[in-house]
Amino acid sequence: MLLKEVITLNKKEFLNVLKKGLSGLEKEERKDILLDYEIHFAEGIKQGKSEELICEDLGSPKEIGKLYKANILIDEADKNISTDNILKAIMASIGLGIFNIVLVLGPFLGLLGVVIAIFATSIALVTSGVVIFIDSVIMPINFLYLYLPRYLMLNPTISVFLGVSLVMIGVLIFVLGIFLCRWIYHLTVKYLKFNLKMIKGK
Amino acid sequence: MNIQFKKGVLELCVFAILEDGDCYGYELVNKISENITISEGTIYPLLRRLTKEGYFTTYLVESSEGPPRKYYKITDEGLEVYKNLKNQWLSFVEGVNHVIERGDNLE
Repeated sequence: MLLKEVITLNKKEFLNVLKKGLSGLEKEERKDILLDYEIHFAEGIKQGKSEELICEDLGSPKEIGKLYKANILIDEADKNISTDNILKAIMASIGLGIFNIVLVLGPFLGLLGVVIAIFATSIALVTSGVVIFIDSVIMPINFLYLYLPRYLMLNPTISVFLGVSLVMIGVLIFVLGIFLCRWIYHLTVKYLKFNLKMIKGK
Repeated sequence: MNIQFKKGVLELCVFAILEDGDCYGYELVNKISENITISEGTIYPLLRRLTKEGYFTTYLVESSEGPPRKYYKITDEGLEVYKNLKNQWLSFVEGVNHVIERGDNLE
């Protein structure tokens, strides 16, 4: 009985907890959301329901607040692409308990590894291309002590061509990496949205 | 009802009710909770999200007693989405029923 008294909220307490849960949202939006619930209370009381019963039927205001926040943060991540936004959206989803971290983390880290490998490859290609180019054109003396096949160093035309092609391939792979990043980003947002549809029952 | 089942169908229920006619928040929540046990408070975030996505529009109507009521109206885009969701759901249920009935016959 005592325990029940502790959990049972009245209107004021419910709205206060919800308000706290909505912190960080735009003021207008927060006011609008709270108004929906205030009207809900007013309608319920008009029907003869007690504040406590209305609260019980509404469910946990903390969970409801998290739901709004996840909704809005995922939306934000969808509209404005940034690492910060996507991380916030992911964290909000984890907090909601709808984001299956074990199931998702593996493939996600795998994809991240692929992306890092792609960028590392492109940087290595560009760097070696530049070095070969410098070595063969600007400083014909092999001052970097590169262990390139001898015939490459003997023929500056081939070295220049090699250097330029390496840079070009590197840039191409870099661009591909960026496209892959974007794709992963949109995939993540899509997945988060899909998860949001799985709204918790009681 | 199992929580897993309830998760996805809430959206479908909201669409179905609004296809029948405009509703204000409290009315809509009641229509759903009459039939399905859910935390009523989770319907409002759903309404807000679907409104933002352009599937519903809202308008205020003054009430004789108490605060004005916010009515939700389904848009053409929303109707399109609903038709799709409904078909998916019906074919899913039909499939599950087939499996269950076959299981009964085997017993």
